[in-house]
Amino acid sequence: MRKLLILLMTFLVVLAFSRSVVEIWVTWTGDEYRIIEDLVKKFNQSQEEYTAKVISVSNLAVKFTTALAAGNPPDLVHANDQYIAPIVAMGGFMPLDDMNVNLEQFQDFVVESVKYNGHIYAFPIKVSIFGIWWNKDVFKKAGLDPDKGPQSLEELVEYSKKLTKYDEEGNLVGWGFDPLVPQWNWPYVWVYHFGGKLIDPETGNITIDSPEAVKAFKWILDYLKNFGMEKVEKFRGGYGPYWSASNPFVSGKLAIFYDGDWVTHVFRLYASDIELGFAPLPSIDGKKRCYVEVDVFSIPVGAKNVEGAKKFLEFLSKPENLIKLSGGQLSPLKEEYTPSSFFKKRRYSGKILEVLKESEMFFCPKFPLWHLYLEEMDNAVEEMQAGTMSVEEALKTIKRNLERRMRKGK
Amino acid sequence: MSRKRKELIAGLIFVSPWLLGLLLFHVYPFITSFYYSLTDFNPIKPSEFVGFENYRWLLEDNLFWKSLGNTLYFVGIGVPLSQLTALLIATGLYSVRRSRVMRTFRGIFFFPILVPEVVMVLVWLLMLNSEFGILNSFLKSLGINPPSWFLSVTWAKPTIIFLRLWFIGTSMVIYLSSLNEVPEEVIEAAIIDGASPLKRFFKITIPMISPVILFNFIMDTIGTFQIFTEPFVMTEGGPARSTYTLTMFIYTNAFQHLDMGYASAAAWMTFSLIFVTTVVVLAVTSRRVFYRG
Repeated sequence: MRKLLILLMTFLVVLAFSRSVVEIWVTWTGDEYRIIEDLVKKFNQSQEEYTAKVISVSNLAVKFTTALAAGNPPDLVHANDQYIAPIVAMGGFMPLDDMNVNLEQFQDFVVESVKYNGHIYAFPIKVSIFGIWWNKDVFKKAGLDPDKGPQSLEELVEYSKKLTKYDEEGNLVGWGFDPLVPQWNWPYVWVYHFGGKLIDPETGNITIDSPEAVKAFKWILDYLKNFGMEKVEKFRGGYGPYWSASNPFVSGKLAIFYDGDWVTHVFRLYASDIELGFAPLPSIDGKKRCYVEVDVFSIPVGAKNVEGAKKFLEFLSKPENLIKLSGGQLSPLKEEYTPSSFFKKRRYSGKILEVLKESEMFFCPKFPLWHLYLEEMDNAVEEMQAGTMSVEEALKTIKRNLERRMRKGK
Repeated sequence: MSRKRKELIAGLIFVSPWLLGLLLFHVYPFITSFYYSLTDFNPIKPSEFVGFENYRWLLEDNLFWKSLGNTLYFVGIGVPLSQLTALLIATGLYSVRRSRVMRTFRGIFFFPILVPEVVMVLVWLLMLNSEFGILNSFLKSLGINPPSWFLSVTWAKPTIIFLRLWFIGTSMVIYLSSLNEVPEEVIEAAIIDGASPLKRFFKITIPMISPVILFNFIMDTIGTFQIFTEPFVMTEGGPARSTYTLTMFIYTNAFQHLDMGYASAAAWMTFSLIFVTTVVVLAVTSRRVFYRG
């Protein structure tokens, strides 16, 4: 009996002094995962109340919503700004207005990107800027200026034609530029580069069927037809997975690639000797525009350790930790909080910052059905390319389906 | 307590784990899903009773109709094709039943069933790759210009149907065992009467195994109505939603949009469809199926 009592007491003492676990889900692998893993270790050493555990989760969006539905989400989840509105609308993220973090240190557009309906729902981690990337050696070999990307849409077509290679049967073996890489594309950005918008900011109406959007997708289809739709379809079948040496851009199948600046991580892993060029995707009116996404951490509704999660965010908010977390990409901090050595140490940071400064930034709209908008958009571009719908019909279908879902939600 | 009563209690105790499982994991979700189909239910928020609204929205939903059309395509073409192939292979194996070859080939045809479906699908994905897949390389060597199997709206559905033929092992084994049950004396009598092999097959073998054909047909129809792994892993429902099936529709609404009420309504529509199809098939075939004894 006495032994049992001692055992019970020991168990209670261990329980009282044990740390509570903060579970963190991220999409990162490789270098990016190692960075967050180091920071988690540092956090665990810095205090004795919590033990943070970071888990790299593939296909995070689906697994997260499933966990949310099951009432068993992580304490912190890695997302990006475009998912804040839909997940908040589902009732999935907690407001973080009361987190103990100095918001003054973040760039204004970053703070705006994590707000929805007047509340802060996420903690910004890093900024991703989108544009066109090219292999400088390939440009040189094709007789193009390796330091200067195409300045207009006409030049983009011209460059692409110069960089495209065919075999003796006329099949594509190397392509200058693919505007809609399957499963790795951002079709909606084209609307902005043609002067349009996805949602009217004043009325909240869906504007995907605007003349600008129609023009954008017609331009894309005409561009693809230059190379033959059937040939393009077959060529795309050979694209390897994004995070691999057979990534179509890394393997040289595509000479120009539209992507976020994390593509530099892929090159660091699989082709570090290749020197890349970077510029904004040309717009129809000649204006420099860049699509920007902000990586964030959010606390899901139903998280078991909200206090621990907030403590971890407080730890991350120290500039040295945020700078480390941003890896080779842009930190969300204002320049005065960023040491100048940051830009010297990182291979492409200077160029990325230069492009960001001279471009007009745009973000995806804060729309509660954004996940459906993306789904509908993906389907529409496939319908257009397959020729099963005209551009106008496909864009109208997006609008009709979204409006129907909005009515259903009311 | 009487012996009979004791036996009853012992029997119930022995089957209780299964009964409990059935009640908890089948009957309870079955009933609650119908209730949820009448609600606006998102697991994070309290549910709200909306009557048959979800069903009304479903009937107006183009995507639901498209997924239904795709599923019916898979059922309408895939089921007869796979059953015919399974029956042909089983008949072929039966004709060499006394040789060792039969056992070897029976094992070979059944083997794909033992491999997890997702693994098999991923292997096929590589084999059918339009650029470096083994099939296209072979077709190119013959001078044929092969299509891009999974990226083409025309080819994606037939390719998935073709892949599902890989999993006919179970049907094939059931056909084979039913062929073994066909009384040899009837066949011998037909041979003496001068019936040709083809006539024997259609006039004796097929009627004799007709209950098994019906069983396989119904089971395959139910399975194909629930087709998910192949389109989910290979095409994600694309291109242009040409392989988007009812189960993908249910899954997307339930676990990606967290619209559980809507997904439950779609699940009940699917269930009703399977139920009606089964009843119709049973009614249509009742006079054509021959039950011995």
